[in-house]
Amino acid sequence: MTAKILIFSCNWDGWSCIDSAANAGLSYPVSVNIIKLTCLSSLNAGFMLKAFEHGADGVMLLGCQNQQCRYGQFDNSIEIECDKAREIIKMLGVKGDRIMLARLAPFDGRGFIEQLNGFIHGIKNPAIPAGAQKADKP
Amino acid sequence: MSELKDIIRQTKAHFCLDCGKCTAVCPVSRYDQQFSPRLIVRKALRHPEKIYADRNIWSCIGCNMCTIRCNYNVSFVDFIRYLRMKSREHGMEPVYNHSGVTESVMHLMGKKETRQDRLDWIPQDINVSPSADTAFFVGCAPYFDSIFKDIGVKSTDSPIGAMRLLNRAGVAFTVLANERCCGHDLILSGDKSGFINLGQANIHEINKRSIKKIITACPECYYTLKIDYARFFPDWHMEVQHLAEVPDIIKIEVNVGEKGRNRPKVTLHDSCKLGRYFRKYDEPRNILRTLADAELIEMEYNRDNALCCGANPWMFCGSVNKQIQDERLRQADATGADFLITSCPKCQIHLTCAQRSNGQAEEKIKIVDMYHFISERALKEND
Repeated sequence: MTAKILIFSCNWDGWSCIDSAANAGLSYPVSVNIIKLTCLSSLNAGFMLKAFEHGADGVMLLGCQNQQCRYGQFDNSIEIECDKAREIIKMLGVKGDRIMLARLAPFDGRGFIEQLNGFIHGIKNPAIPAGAQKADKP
Repeated sequence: MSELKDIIRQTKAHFCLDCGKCTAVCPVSRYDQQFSPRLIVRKALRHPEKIYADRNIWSCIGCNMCTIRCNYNVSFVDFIRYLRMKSREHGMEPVYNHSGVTESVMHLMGKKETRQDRLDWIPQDINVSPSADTAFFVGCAPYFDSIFKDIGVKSTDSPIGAMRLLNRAGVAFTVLANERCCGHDLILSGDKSGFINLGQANIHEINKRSIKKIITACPECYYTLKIDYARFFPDWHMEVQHLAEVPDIIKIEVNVGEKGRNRPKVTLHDSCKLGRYFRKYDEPRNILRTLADAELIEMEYNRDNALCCGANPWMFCGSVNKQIQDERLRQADATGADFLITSCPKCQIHLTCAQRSNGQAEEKIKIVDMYHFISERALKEND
């Protein structure tokens, strides 16, 4: 199984990592989708759960390192929302570490790919084996 | 179009005389000049093709004040529910609050394959009998604990208190490990397929355990399991009871010290579902007076006239809802009581949120869940 991953990336250091990975010719599985946000602080638990609702197996959040936020809004809000979403999916019976918050240095393409691959390898089962997925099988 | 005619007949909307009593008492109309139950019914009867795109149909908070006042019992909330279902079919969608987290949780719970792990919060001292044929329906309180922890509400206090009361009353009950949301908010927001999924999963879970009776403490679960499940699932004949009407509850021996001394001053916020839908006003008051030995001071608007907590099914919460909540809190403050007792986890969440956003929460009336209040006051010293 190749895990379906949705990445929420901030527009700044997070996006620069993805950009430099692409420039360096590094690749990641096609089951990874990326949504670019202005800042991770604008994200909350509802969007992460929405990803699982639509069949994602894992959600990765890619943002700037501590104290590096361009908006000076480093207020732990994304950590709080991450904890909330983790608690909720645990209650929903989803096993394992499904939400990863990665804070990377700017232009660290290799670091991004390593973290992403590590995250994908850790996911062995679908988050919720949705009934709709059965129809996709030949 | 013939379906709309059926629903007009079922909800008795064709009896509407345009008298406007519904709009006069509607808490939403008071703050939102655009919203009028009377005009929505009139528009649906005269220009049915235009009603689905009308944004106003999403503003109703479902408090049932209009139906109580209506001389012809036009069931406006059922009518709105139907319009919302059809409106979704026409491509309209509501805007969910909390970035749709509650909606996603409900949809994820509705999947057949979901195997929840949701009973961690039950304290050790509560005696759950797995073989009992009575089930205690918890509701979504464990999820609310996580979702609303930043406003400092602990919703599981309500089922914990309720289960302690059941234990003390000697009622043996079990809890369902994979219980889903009852679907109240999905059906009220017009998401029929989501509601059917949740209902089917719940019924499957309940039938598997050969449950004979369901007791619940949440007014919305009570309404949905009793009325809506019977309406949407023809095979559903379960006996559903609200905790406040379990006969053994009122007979519990309590320990509140000397009766009549140090009585806490409380005021009760009637929940819409238990109140205006079922007209059960005395049951919660009786157990509050008898078990907690509390001095009950009524708010200016109580029972049939009680103001709603201003909550939509987790959507379109805005300035109108906030103003309704503020007004309710002002009414509660005016009683001079120490505690504002709520019997619905949602009322507790919404009123607490309104109180917090006004600041100085510690100086104002304390919002407590009824079952938590009773079990903390009356059962603790005996344990």
